[in-house]
Amino acid sequence: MSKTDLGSSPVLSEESEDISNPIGERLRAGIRQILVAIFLLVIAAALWELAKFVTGTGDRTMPHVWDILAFLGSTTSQNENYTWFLVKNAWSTAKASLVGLLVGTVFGLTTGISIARSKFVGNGLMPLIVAAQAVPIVAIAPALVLWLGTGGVTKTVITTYLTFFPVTVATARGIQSVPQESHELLQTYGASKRTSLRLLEIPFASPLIFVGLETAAAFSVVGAIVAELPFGSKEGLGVVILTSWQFYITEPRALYCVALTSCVLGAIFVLSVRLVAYFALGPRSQGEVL
Amino acid sequence: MAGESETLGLHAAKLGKRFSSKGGDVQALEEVDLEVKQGGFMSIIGPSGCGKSTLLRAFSDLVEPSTGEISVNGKMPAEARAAREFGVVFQSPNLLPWRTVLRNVTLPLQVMGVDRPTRNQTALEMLELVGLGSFARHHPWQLSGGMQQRVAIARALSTNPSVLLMDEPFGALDEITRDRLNLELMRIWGQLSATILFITHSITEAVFLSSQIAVMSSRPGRITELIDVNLPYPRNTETRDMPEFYELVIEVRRALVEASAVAS
Amino acid sequence: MTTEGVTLAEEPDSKDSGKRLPIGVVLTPTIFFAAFLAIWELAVRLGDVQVLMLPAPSVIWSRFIKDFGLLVELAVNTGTEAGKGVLIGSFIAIGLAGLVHGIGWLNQGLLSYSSTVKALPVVALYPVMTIFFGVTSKAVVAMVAVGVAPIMFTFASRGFSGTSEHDDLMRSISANWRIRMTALVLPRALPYVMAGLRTAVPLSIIISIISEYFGGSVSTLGAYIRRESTMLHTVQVWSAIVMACLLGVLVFVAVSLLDRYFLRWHSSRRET
Ligand SMILES: Nc1ncnc2c1ncn2[C@@H]1O[C@H](COP(=O)(O)OP(=O)(O)OP(=O)(O)O)[C@@H](O)[C@H]1O
Ligand SMILES: [Mg+2]
Repeated sequence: MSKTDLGSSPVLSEESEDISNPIGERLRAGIRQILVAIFLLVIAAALWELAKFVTGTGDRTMPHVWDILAFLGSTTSQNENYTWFLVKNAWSTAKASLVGLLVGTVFGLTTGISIARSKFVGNGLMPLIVAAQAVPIVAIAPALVLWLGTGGVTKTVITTYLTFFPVTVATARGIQSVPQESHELLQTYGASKRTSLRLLEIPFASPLIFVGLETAAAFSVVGAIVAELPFGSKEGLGVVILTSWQFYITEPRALYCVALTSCVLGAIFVLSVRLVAYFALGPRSQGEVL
Repeated sequence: MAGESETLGLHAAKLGKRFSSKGGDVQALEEVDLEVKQGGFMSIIGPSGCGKSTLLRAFSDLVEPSTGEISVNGKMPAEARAAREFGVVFQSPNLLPWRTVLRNVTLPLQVMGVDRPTRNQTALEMLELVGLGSFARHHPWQLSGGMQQRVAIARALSTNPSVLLMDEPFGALDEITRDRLNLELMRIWGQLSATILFITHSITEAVFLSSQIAVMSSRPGRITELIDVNLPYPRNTETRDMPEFYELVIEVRRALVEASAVAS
Repeated sequence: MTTEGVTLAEEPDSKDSGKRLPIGVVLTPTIFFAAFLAIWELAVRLGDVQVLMLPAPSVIWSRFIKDFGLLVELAVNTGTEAGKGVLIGSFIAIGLAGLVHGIGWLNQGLLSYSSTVKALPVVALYPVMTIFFGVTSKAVVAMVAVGVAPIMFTFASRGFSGTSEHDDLMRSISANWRIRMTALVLPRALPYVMAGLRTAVPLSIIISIISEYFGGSVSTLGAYIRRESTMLHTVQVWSAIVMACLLGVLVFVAVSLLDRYFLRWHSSRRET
């Protein structure tokens, strides 16, 4: 979407003065939020230690925060830095998530648009979508692996499946809530369906679509991890989770590290979408960057 | 189509519109005859729900008449729309919030496929015309209600239509802003010499602006009276102090009361 | 009727009330569903797909009928775990939201977190839960609670953040804390809590099935799916999936009805 139509326009070089500049304000608010976020992390760590101390839980169940962090500096049996090992696997998961997210978004957008456009399709599909969302994807993952192998295709299918729904629902709802009078406005100019999709429906729905995309982004990471779980996968956070879980009696810190890494990867995905929304929508992205 | 005889800006003959819905049918318009000369300013006034919007929407090709004939500059509404003969101003500004003021005004031109420099140029001229040239890069939320409605007028004017269809454009504004915008509309009308169909609930507004006022009654919606407003143009603040102005206001009010009596 | 299982409802807009169900709302999905099943059945038959890979709907259905009693029992257990998790998670989240809603920066900070972890990677966190609770039903309940809490916090905090002229009213009649809570603050937050539940409850079923899949009480849907799939009993797996879907739809409908009952006073219910 070209939101910067005016950027090149020479006619409008003079800036209007009496317009409050929200960019600076929002930047400051963003920085303050980051500080609060860090502060809350520190508090959480302190609470963890407090709980450990009060309940007298052993290091096997609740390792010290600093021990968990220190473990990131250790080396694996392959003589590899553990952080690097995690990053490598997370990257493999992230690639699969991204592909699925993109494919799922394309499918979701088109389905959402057709649901909004046609009452028949909408009535027919929406209940099925609710039901399909309830399909436990872990249950299907092994079957999919049987068909498609443990490679990238399975991962893509699973992540696509999970990301498809939030994008579809958001797109449909967004377009359905375009006010009638805006439709009429474009109608009086004889705009075609495609034109009003481009100029009215998509821009109107995009804040909601981005909310759906955030959910989809989080789901895509979950989906990729699930796809890595079945026997036979070689890399990815899912594999690391399973092995760490097997050995947690001897090394509980590894399990904590990979669980945290998974959460961080999910957060990175969600925040990236939010950042894109921030730049694409400007003041219309109600959400804060953090 | 237009013979040697003068083509009318707006013309309706025996126009009828019936809405059928589950709750029962509504005869929104019945046997409406209306003639507005090119360059004329016709106001329509009538009780709420009497079919004013329906009439305007019939001219703007948003509603299909059930019976009768209707034309804009001698053309069928659909043809007139394709030829960009008219611009519509809705009751609410109806601006797209994600577009700047300028890009809201360029919207119709963009739909027409006009190239960017031209449409920015035109839109800026229109914004100058409504006195908002310096707000081109603002977003709608940064403007007051009155300013937003002026942007909507600029947008309607951007395709250079010869007919303006306005549905209670100043209905949501306070008295003072409304008076100011009325003056401005008079100025713009003087410059463009367009045909205007103007719907309002305000008697003084109708008298101040129009060359002719059509009074409507409701259920079924029909025109009960046509009142000529023979006040001199250009109209300005002094117009409102003229004794003729008051006489006309009283006359329109009487016609409105009679129209409501017909309804009940 | 609202149909969403994802965090979308910005406002607790409680949709067009479906008093009169137009035929299309019932008939159209039935047609779509029938078409979907027919294509599936045909594809399996004509493509000669092995049962091991993908059983035909008719085969799944007859298995589903045969095992119905067992499947219901499994679903009840799964539902119970999910329900407990939702109760605990919501209780903690709403309580926390109520506590911090006066403290702007803290509320904002927690909101940032809860909206960023919209979907916790359950598969990654469940192993951690089992460290605390063992591979038991408790771990499943805890996982659901942890997964549901951020969603409920987001919605509840939005519900508590509202201010209106009613606050001034309460002040003007010198209402005490208890009255203010029961007469104003809680009812005002209720639509938001309900909107949160509409998202959280269907999600809780999915979380508990995933968790059970990795271990937990034996007679639950997730554990059953795991066991049957290792034995390559594909038909049994699919009949359990059907039950899982039914359970998901059932709780969704249940929350919608509850919502309708609790929010009968809400303006979105106004007749038009
Ligand atoms: N799309 C529609 N479907 C069914 N009935 C309609 C429709 N549009 C208008 N009506 C009915 O037609 C009648 C006239 O409506 P219209 O909007 O033209 O009134 P109006 O004079 O513009 O009223 P107001 O001054 O309140 O704007 C009303 O009784 C209304 O209920
Ligand atoms: Mg009207």
